[in-house]
Amino acid sequence: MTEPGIVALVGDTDFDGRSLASEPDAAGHPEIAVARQLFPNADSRIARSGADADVARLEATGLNAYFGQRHTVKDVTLALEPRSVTAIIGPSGCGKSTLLRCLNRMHETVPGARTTGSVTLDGEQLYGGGTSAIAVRRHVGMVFQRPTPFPTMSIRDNVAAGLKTRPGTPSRARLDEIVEDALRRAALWNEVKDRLGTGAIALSGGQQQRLCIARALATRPRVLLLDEPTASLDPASTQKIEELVYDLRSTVTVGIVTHNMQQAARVSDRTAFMLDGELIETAPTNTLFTAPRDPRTEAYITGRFG
Amino acid sequence: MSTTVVPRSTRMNRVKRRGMSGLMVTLTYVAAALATLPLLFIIAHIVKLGAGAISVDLFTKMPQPVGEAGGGMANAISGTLILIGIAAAVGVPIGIGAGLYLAEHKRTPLANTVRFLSDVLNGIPSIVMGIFAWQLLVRPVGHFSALSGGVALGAMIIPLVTRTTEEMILIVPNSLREAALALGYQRWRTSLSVILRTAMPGIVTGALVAIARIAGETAPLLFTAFGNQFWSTSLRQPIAALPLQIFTYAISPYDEWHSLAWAGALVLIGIVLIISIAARFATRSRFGAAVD
Amino acid sequence: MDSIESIRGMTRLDRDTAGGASIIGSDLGDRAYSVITTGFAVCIPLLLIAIAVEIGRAAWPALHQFGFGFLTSSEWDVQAGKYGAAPAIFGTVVSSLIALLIATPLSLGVAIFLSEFAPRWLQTPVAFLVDLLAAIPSVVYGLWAIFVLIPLLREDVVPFLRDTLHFGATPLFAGPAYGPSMLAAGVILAIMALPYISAVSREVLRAVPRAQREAALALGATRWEVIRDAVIPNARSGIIGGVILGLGRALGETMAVTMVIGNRAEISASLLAPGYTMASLIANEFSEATSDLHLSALMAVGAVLFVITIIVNAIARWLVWSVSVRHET
Repeated sequence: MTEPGIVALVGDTDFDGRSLASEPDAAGHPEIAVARQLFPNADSRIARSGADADVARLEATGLNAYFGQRHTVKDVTLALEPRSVTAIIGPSGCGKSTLLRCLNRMHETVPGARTTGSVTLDGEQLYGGGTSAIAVRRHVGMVFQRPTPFPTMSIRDNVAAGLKTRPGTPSRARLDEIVEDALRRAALWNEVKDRLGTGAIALSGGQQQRLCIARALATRPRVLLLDEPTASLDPASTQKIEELVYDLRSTVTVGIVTHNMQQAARVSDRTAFMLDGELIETAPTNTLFTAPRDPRTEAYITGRFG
Repeated sequence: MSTTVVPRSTRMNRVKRRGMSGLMVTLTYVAAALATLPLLFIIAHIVKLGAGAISVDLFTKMPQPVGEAGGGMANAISGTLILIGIAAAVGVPIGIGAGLYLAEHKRTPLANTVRFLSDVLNGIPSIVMGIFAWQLLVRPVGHFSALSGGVALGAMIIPLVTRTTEEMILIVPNSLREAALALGYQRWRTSLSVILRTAMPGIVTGALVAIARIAGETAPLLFTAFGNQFWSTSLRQPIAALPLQIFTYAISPYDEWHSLAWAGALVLIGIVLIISIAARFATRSRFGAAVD
Repeated sequence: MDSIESIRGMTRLDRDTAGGASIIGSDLGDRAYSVITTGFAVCIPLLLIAIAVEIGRAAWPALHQFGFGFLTSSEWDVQAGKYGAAPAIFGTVVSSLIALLIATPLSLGVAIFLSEFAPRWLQTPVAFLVDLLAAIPSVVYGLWAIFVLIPLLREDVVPFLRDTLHFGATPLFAGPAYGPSMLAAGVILAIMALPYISAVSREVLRAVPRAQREAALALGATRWEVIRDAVIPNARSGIIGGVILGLGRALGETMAVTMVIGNRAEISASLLAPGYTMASLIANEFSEATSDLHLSALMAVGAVLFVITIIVNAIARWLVWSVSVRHET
């Protein structure tokens, strides 16, 4: 008889997510053997502990996306590397937002939308294999172009909103901790710490967007996707958000879509350039902007179109 | 495309046309004046004739037989409140549920049918609702009841609440739904905790407006609630109602009952007014800013 | 700093078959939500069917007995057990027609006033006062009609029309004028229909694009000509739809009519004679119906009213809808 749901804390193991009991051979992995000894009856899952557990690699392979007959994302292969910020740039309509939305299975919420290809999160298939879209979205968070705080909720309730669907109810104290932690990571804590109970819509646009980031972070997603997050904000708020995105890299894998090349240059480690649904080029940001390989990339970044 | 035909412009012609135009414009002013008169007349009469008969007794005493002094409409007022309570309990949940369905299924055949039939339901004369409720709920049990009256009124509320609910939910921006889904919310939780919750103030307003509308209905109550000269709060007994009482008093031959009818009309309009004002307040969101 | 709770979130991706209860719950929750909302929505068609069935069932004995003659026979004799709905149908039609004759020009006038000529500061109060007419309960209209309108008609209006304007020579104004009459019903119905016709007309007039008006003005049209030639033709079907909507309201009105029409099952050419409408007939006799046949006949009248109002409202809606479609294209 197994005891379900016990999670074994192990160190930096490659078996993250797999079942203790099912691993036939623990040779070369003494931590597995130790865990088995400690929890002989556990039907447990192996997970990483500490900040390392947040490290995640999100990889799309041969990804295609359609709106009905319109082929918007064409055979894209792209990886969001762990602990880094990857920017996706390209002219309007090139499919970068659609691509991003495929990564957390939001694309399929549109009637008539279709995806083929594969997306994996640390090796786990996000499409198919019986994985539910909802589960995916709990591990891959998203912030949209327009700030969307829930208008009927206070700042605190907004940040904690994502926790409602997780199993178990944290205590009030624990909740406050989570909220504070998320707001700090979103660089909003100091501005709202005295009015957590007030309405979220009273905040300015830039603050609302940081609130949405905090809301996404509160659930500790492994990946955070940002779809043109500063497009509707003023320069001061834009700068604050760019700084916090830059800081987030140490704890979350970040993918950011932006139409602002300077922004991409400022915050990202790697940049991908898309054109007409195709991924033209991916490179470390510096390289892409100083020595792009593809002539189309060069045309775009020198402002010849887009 | 319409073609505008303008008569050839000669001097005589121009004068005539301008005169005609002036006349017609004046006529519309007259029409506007005439159209606003009845309301002012009616309100004036109600206030003048009703205020005179208003007293504390009106709200605290039962009706007395003719000739005896005193007497009030306490049972009718409470009866109306009970009836609209039943109507709300029956009609508002169904209306909200149907409105949710329509907002989410938009143009499917079933949704279109329901939307169309809801409009049809809205246009059914209230007397027809009354005889339907009688046939369904009074005839089988052999006696009138507050419940049957409340149900008749509730059925009339349904199309109104359905329409406002659908409208209010469609106003909620889709980006909110996306934000909730992106957090990992299930579809049902998104619809209820986020969308419905955001639309709530508008929905409550719509429900209150609908309730104010049926608070004054008499015809559906004629053969269901029927009226009662005594105090009653039982659902299974006939019950007094303000509109019914006004009707009875108005068509009676007694002067003192006539003035009670005016007083009752004033109270009824007052109740409708209070509910309408409450509806305006409902549009303010919890956090003070008016949600539009 | 992480604890068990945050690690829980780190377990490998939940699958549908295993994993957090909240995932399985989601499928169940979604399904329950769908079933429940569909159930509520389906209540509406079910209710309508129930109304049709119940009333049809109760009306059947009378309809079966009198056949088509039920609609054409003008003999409504409770004692003799003979029931013909013609007087009631006649009365409904006539009172509604009077109402429309009075209300349509007035409503159109107000609507044109509000959408074309009214200064901004007047627009809101006038519109508010006109729309407020719809909020007054029918029984209050009846009360006012009994004690204010009928005396007004009897003492001032009818003598004016009959004697001063010599309308008394026509059959329309023949006979004694005791008070309760078809005319009174028509007038009160006109007041009750006014806000509906006016509201719809206002909407459709406003929906006519500015460009139409400006084109006409540029061609030298007077203010009235702009309205007559450029605006109204475009809004015509919508306005007609509004009028028919008002008609639908008038057809079903019960209380105010019952209180002023005299409740006599007679067909008369005179507007001053009392009469019956289908709605007031039911209201008046239902509680006192002694025989089953009487009851069934009243139900049959209700069934006729039911069908007529559905048809009229459907026409109205189609007309108004076709205007909005035209302007969207």
